[in-house]
Amino acid sequence: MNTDDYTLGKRRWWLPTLSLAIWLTFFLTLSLSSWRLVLISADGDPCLHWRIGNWMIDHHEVIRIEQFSHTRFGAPLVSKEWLSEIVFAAAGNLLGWNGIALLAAALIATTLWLLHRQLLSEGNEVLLSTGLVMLTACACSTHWLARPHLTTQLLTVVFCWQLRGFDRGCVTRKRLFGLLVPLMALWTNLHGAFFVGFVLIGIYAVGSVMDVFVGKIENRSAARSRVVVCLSLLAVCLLASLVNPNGWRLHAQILHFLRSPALSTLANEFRSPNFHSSGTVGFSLELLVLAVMLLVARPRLCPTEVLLIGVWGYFALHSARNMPLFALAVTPIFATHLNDFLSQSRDSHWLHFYRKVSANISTLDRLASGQIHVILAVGLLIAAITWPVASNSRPLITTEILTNRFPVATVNYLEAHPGAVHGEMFNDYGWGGYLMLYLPERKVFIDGRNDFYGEELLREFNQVDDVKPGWENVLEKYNVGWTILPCQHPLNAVLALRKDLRLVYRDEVAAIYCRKP
Amino acid sequence: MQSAISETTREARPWWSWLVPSLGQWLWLILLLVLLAQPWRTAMVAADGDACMHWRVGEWMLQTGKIIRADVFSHTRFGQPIISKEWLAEIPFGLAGRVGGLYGLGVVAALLIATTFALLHRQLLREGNDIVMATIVTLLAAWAASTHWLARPHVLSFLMALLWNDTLRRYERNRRTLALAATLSLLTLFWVNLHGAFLAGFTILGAYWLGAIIERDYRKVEVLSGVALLCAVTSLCNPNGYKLHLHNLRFLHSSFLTGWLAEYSSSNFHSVSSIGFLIWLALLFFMFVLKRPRISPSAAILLLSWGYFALYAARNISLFAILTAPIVATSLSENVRGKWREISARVRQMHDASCGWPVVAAVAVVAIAFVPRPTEMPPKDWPVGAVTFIKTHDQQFSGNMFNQYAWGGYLMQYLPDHKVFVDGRADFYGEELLREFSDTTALRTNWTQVLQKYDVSWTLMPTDHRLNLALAMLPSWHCAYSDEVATVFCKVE
Repeated sequence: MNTDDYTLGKRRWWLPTLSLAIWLTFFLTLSLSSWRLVLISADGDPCLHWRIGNWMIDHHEVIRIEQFSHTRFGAPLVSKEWLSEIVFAAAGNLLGWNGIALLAAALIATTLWLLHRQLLSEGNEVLLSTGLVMLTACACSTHWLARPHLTTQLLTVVFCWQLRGFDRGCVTRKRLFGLLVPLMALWTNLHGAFFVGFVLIGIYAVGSVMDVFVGKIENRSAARSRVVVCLSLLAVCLLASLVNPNGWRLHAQILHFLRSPALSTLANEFRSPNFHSSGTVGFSLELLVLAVMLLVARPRLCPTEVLLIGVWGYFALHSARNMPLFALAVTPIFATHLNDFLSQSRDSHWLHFYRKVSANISTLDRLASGQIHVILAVGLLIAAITWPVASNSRPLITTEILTNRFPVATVNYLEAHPGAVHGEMFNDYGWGGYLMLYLPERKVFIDGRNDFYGEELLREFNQVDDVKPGWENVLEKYNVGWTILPCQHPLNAVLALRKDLRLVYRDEVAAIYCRKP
Repeated sequence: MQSAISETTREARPWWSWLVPSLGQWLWLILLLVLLAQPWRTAMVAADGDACMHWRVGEWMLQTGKIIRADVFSHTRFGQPIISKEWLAEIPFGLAGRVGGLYGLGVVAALLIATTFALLHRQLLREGNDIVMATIVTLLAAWAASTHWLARPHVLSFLMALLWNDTLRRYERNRRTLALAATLSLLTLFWVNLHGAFLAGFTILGAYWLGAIIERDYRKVEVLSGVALLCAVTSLCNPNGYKLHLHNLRFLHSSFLTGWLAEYSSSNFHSVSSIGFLIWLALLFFMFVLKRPRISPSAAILLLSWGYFALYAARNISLFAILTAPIVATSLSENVRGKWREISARVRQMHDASCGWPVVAAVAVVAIAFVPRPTEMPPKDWPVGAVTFIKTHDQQFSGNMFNQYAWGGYLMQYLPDHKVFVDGRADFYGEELLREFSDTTALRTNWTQVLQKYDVSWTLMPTDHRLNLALAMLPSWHCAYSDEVATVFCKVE
């Protein structure tokens, strides 16, 4: 096989391109391995989004008033991700948890496929590009959950690709506006982190301004025109982002949330990364690649690249949930400079071997086609999920919420004994979404939507959750009649000592205490 | 050349130069005075209970005239063999506490910290860096390191790491093997008895050794291997021999124990205290991006390894800043040009001409000895009222205590007649006991069993702690004392 085959147009339909192979690998691994259970069971939010999406499908309207909690029932609600919630709920209604896991796997695989395509389209070696995409996948994996934020990861790649292409003169102004403006409108309705798009455009605008002042004289007029385009794009995207059910109120709510440390630090993912945890290995490796690039390759970075690494590096250190976005934003920069370094390095035994392998894979990749594999994989998976249901046989792939993490048996007990508890519920924060979905007839005290519940209610919740003095007053204030908490929760020990409460149910995961009638 | 200039300056030194401190001396004095002022003075001793704990252990060794080998401060592990990691540091801390109380502890820590950064400044100048740049880098390194400025033996590790790294950098320049071996083995002898972080020295040495391998400098590899072996043997010269090394390695391997201690957790970048570290990281990033310096493999490995250690555990930030400051100063000094260079030359001239150490020493002595600076554990954070109550009603508190973890050291010092349940020596108490302690404070199902197992008859916990609420519901316990900070519950006889 040589390059002549390529020029002769002899493409191998049975051979998937490396980018497609990446898509297939991640899609199949995430859909078929135990990863799919992690995708849906890492926290209660996948349940929460499914439940809200279902409500919107049932009522044919975007949710605007709170329906699921007794603490804030009827309060106006700014829904940040209504469109993704509908899509996730539709997938869930169609194929159950399998459908939600499949959708999440497809979004993740598509993100990595796009990144690989970007790296190759920017002229990087195929082996290096593949290695860096794998590294990015490792960094992103810490936040691979079946939730709307996966759309943010996908759209971050698209924005980074197009903006970088425009900066390098490969993408026209028309295409930039034609693609990013509608995508921004879509992003605003898909996930609350659409602000990432503004940050990216802003970085390119500031980078171009810096180019005007410190760049080469012959490039300054081009930089000036880039500043105008980026600022115009920012303004138009800002306008496009108003196309959502809540208009400017959505922006105000998100800014309020980001500026409130009490709200943002309650969620683990908003805390600084914990480098003791295995979840930060990918991010640590990304930082190592950055360090090696700066120490060994010593590239000349343009102001935009410096800003991208600096700003997203800071965001990632500030909040663990930004680690994947850091990896997605900076990997193309690493690829370009490491590729330049490797191509300019003096030939050595190892480098010669690397170049040879890379060239061979490149040739194969150019000969490959194989979109058929994607269609086959998706089709077979859907068939494997739906066929047993249709034919009433044993399911081949089952995806269910982990019973050791969520109060599955407890909820079954409550369904079987609805009279066992009375009054309002006090529940564990992480279980709120699960209870919303599986106990729809009861209203939760709290769930994962901490931006909606607000600082005051979260403070009251913490007072009870940490068993601080005055906890009884909070329960009385909200007419709490029963609690559902992890069985080792400190509140259970205190409730067990109270004469006005009794233990209704207990298993290895959860315990229910209820006021005596 | 540098020393020739200094010789000339010394010969022609006018009388007034003895009155004008040099930049390094100013730095030392300012750091010392800042640390002796509020809020630093109190923060250094009252950030946790460990300052009191080391004082108490040091005091015990001074009283008994022997190194501690079995626990005498807790009832949970009373009489158990103890590996004392920092006995040599605890003795001066104990002495300082005996002479000046908490203020004495603060003075020792302030002197050590100020000396470390003055020596860092001196090292940067000796390596030929621009004086203004060296001063800025030292100040930024001090800012980054300030997250862990506490009156505890670990401040000696700052000094030891600085001297250790300086010795290795000197060897890289002058290749004097004997000086390297003698200095590092002497430093090992001190470090291994001063603080448990002496293993950091081997990590630093390892970075230089790996660097030598990458450079294919096999003579250097041989020398560093020999020196590492010599230091390893020297490190056995401590009261516990190889057991100290095993103890430290076991502690570092235990994710429960390292996860237990707040200072071993990763930096919280939401907190104001991490700004110094963040600025240090930004400085490194912009230095490599804008100046694109070429650094040696050993410097690169040192930077990468300690950068990772600093991200991994906040307590390593100080060592990271101290070890990487010479790399930063060298890289930035190479780019000093124009007006800056002229100003630096003038500052350097003044610096070389001045020798105001008598003035600095006099001001320091006056500041330490004659200006009254009462230092107390803040009663809003520490159970000062409860301790006074217990002392005045001692007959009520004859049994075993259950206490808040962070208060253990404070209670060891201020309630010496009572033995604590637990204190800051997490490595000594071990995983099992700490789990039992944690189960009790989290009111897990076995919480009452733990209290029974250790025959606890009274508790001293923060007033808003859930354990108090649970005990208040038990008829066998009653509240003996309560204020805004602490509450004491006693078992009904």
